[in-house]
Amino acid sequence: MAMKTLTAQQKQALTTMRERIGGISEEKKQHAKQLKAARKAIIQMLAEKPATAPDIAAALNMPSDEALWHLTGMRKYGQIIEAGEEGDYLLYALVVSDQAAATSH
Amino acid sequence: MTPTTEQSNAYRPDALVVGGGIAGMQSALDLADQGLKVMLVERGPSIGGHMIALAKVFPTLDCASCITAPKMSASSHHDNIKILVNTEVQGIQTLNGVHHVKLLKKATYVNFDKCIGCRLCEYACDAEYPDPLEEGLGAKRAIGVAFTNAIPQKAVLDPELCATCGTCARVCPTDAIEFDQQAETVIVQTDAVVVASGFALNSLNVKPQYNAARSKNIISALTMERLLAPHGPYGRVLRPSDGKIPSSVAFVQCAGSRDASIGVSYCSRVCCMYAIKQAMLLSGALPIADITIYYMDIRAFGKGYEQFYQNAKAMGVNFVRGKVARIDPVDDGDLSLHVETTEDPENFLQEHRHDLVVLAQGMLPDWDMSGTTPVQRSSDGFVATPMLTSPTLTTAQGIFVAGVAAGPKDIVDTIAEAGAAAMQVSQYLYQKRSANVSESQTAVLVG
Ligand SMILES: Cc1cc2nc3c(=O)[nH]c(=O)nc-3n(C[C@H](O)[C@H](O)[C@H](O)COP(=O)(O)OP(=O)(O)OC[C@H]3O[C@@H](n4cnc5c(N)ncnc54)[C@H](O)[C@@H]3O)c2cc1C
Ligand code: SF4
Ligand code: SF4
Ligand code: SF4
Repeated sequence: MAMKTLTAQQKQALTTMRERIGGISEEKKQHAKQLKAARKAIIQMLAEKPATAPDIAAALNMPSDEALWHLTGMRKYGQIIEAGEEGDYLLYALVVSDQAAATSH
Repeated sequence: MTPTTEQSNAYRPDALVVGGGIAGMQSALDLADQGLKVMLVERGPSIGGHMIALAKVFPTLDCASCITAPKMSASSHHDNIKILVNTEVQGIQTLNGVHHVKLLKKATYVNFDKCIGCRLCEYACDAEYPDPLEEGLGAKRAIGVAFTNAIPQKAVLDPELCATCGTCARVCPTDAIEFDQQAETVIVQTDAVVVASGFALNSLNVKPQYNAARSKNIISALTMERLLAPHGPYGRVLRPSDGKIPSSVAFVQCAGSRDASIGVSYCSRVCCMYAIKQAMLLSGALPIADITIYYMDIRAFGKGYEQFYQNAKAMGVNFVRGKVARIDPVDDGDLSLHVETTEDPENFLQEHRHDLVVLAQGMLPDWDMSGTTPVQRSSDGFVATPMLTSPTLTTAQGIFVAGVAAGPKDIVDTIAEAGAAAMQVSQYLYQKRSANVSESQTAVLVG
C-alpha cells in the first residue's frame, strides 16, 4: 500500500486532535499492545495448521470468547478463512497473502 | 469534550425528519415525492435504522436488506431530500409557528466531499475494537465505513478508539482525512417536523435472575439477527462464548416487557413474531438443533401471522407455555432454565438445559425529548398521540410522529404510519401556507 508522508498541516492537525482527546490513555496503549501480541501469536499458530477458537484459547491461555473475537476480526479483514469443521467447532486457516486481497470485504 | 461552534443553517427545508430508520425514510420519501424539501437527520453513520441490521423479516421471510437498501438508496438520490448522518437532533423550539431544530453535527474527521469510500484507511488502521453495530461480537477499526451496505459509503474516525498514528492519512488517496475537524451545533428552521426516532432495547441485565452478566451465551434478539444475517460477525450461527455450533437454542419471551417490577408493563408487540421468525431461520441454519420458545402467550395479531406461527410448529419448533423463573450458567458454557409451565400439571416446575439463550427484551423509546422539545410523552415514555383518530399527531402543532417512536410496532405498521405522517404534514403545510397567503392578501386589500 502506497504510504505518503504527512504534510506539516496534517501533522499539526494530528497534534491538535491528540490534545483534544486528552492524549493516548494507558488503557488504549495496553489494548494496542495486547492486540498486536495476540494477533502475532494466532498467525504463528495458524501458520502451522488450522485451529478452532478453543484450540487457540488453550494454546495462548486466553478466554475462548476472546480467541473467537480475534478470529472474527481477522476473518473480516481478510487474514483468515474458514477451513472446515472439527466436532462442533469451525477450523480457521491463514490466508496466503495473494489470496488475502481477494477474500477481504 | 470536543468543542463545538453554533451557527444557523441557511438551508430551510419544508419538513425535518428525526431519525433515518424505515419510518423516517418512508416519511421523507413520501414528502419529497410531493415536491416538498426534506431534511432527514440520523444520529448514526448510516441511514437504515434497526431494519438494515435484521436478517429476514416476518411474516414473509424476505431478506431485510433487500427491502431496506432500495429505500436507503432512493432517499439518498432524491433531489428533494438532504440527508445528514452523524448528526443528532438535540431539541426543538417553536417560535411563531416556526420550529427551530437544534442539531449536533458530530466531527467525523473525514471530509465527505472528498471521501470515495475506498476503505484503504480502514485496512491500514491497527486500532481494532469490538463493533457496537455487531452487538460487540464483530470487530471494527478506529476509522472505517460503518458496514458493507451503509449509506453514505463514507469513512468515519472514532476519536475514542484512535491511537493518532496518522497512518490513515498516509494511505488516503484523496486526502480526505481532517484530524482537526470539530463538532458543530446548527439551528435549522422548518415548518414541520416528523419524529421517527425509533427504539432501543432494555438491558439484558434488567432481570438479574436471568444472569446475563454471567454468560456470553445469553444474548439479545438483535444479536441473534446479526448471527443469522449473511454479513454477520461470524458469517453463520455460532455461540459467542467459544464459537461452538449450537445444538439447543432457547428463546425466553417477555424477558423485558409485561413486568411492572422493571418499569415496562406494556407488551413490546413484535418479540413473539421475531422469535418465531428466528426459530424458523435457525431450523434452516442448524437442521439438527432443537429449538424451544418459552412463552406466556403468543401475540400473532397481524396479517398472515397466525399462519406463520402454525408453520413454525409444523417445522418442529417446540413451544413451551410457561414462565422462565431463573437461568443459571452451568458447565461447558451451557445454561439451565428453571421454568414454571402450564403444560403438565403433574410436573409444572421443570429444568431444561440449552447451549444458547435469546432474551426477548422490551422495546423502549430511543430519544428522550422531554424538556428539550414541546412534545409530550405518555406514561410509557413513547411520544403521546392524544387523538385516537389521528395517530401521527403529537401534542405539539406542526410536530408529527411515526414508527416505534410512538410505541412498539412492526415494520408493516411503521411504514403505514410513516405514510400517514407524511400526508398529515403536507396537509398541515398546505393549510398553514394558504392561511398565510390569505392573511397577506387581506393585509394588502385592507392596507
Ligand atoms: C430483534 C428484532 C427483530 C425484528 N424483526 C422484525 C421483523 O422481522 N418484521 C417486522 O415487521 N418487524 C421486526 N422488528 C421491528 C422493527 O425493527 C421495527 O418495527 C422498525 O425497525 C421500526 O423502525 P423505526 O424507523 O420506527 O425505528 P428505528 O429503526 O429504531 O430507527 C430510528 C432511527 O432514529 C435514529 N435516532 C434516534 N434518536 C435520534 C436523534 N435524537 N437524532 C437523530 N437520529 C435519531 C436512530 O439512530 C435510528 O436510526 C424487529 C425488532 C427487533 C428488535
Ligand atoms: S490515526 Fe487513528 S484512525 Fe488513523 S490509522 Fe492511526 S489509529 Fe487508525
Ligand atoms: S477517508 Fe480516504 S482512504 Fe478512507 S475511505 Fe475515504 S477516501 Fe478512502
Ligand atoms: S410480543 Fe410476545 S414476547 Fe413480546 S412482550 Fe408481547 S407477549 Fe411478550
